[in-house]
Amino acid sequence: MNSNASIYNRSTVSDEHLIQRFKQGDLDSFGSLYERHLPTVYNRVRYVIPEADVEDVTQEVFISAMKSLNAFRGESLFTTWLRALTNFKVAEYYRKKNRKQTPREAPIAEAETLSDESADLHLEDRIALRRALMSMPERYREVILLRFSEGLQFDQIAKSMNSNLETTKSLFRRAVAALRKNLDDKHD
Amino acid sequence: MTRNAPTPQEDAWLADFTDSILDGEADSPPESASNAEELALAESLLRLKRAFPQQELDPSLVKRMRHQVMEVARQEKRRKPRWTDIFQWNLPLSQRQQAGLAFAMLVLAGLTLVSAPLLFSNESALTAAAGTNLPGAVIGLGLVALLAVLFLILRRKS
Repeated sequence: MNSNASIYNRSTVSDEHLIQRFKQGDLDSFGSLYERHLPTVYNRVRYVIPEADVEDVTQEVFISAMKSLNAFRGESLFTTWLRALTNFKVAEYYRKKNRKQTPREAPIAEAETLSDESADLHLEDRIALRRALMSMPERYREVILLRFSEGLQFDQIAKSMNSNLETTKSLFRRAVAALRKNLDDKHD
Repeated sequence: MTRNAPTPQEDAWLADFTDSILDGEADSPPESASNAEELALAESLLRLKRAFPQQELDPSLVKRMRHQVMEVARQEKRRKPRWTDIFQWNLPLSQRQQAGLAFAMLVLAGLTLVSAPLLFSNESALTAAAGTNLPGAVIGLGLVALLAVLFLILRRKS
């Protein structure tokens, strides 16, 4: 990483400024945006995409972002735009997979690739949870991902979803109930 | 038996328990759960937290992934012709509208200049008398098409 990229990575440089510089031809600005937002995108993707494909889908999100950044007019926050793009890429991933298997079946196929000696005790649980998350309505999944994968506080989630705090907490409870039901259905 | 709809207090309780899980203050089902459903929801949240523990990305992974993406970015930049930059207007919506209107006025002025001889010629009057005012119809259609294109361009949002 060069020195410019390090400077841009400081929190004082806004996303908007980096985007503007990228539009003017400064590729390092995109590198800084990438480093800044990679953990958030990667973390969101790993909640909903099988382990083996998390890296690829994450890269696709950023490559797609880079290609369409010139069309980004700043009418929403870059984080909001990138989140929508991530959700689109996740949906696209399952659309492609869907020709062979349904989203509910994808994690099962993932489980079949695991070795018996897998040292990761939570791997099976992750597979079941991914399946449960992908089987729930998008709005429910979104509120859980915002709290768990992005670490937003409930008031921030409410703002992000153009809602109030009480409604958001109610939505969260219904989302967790749906998650619980989907997990239970798996055992039926 | 079906429970009544949860109260705001119950919603708030679950939200607070979630906060305590994610802050690392709770790692077991809460004793404060008032019923079996609350307990079941709390257990689901704990399960989610344990299955996806917060983790820092490995710096070598970040470096490798960044390198890949930047390589694609460089290829894209080489592939993109310079003339396409002309169309990258990084202007606010109001200024783009003004630019669009100015462009439309220029096109209108150009159309008027080109079509003036046709509009005021005798030939035009004769064809109009015959019920086929072709230049006027073409100009009218051109104007409608121009306005439609401008409308489509200006209403686009990112």
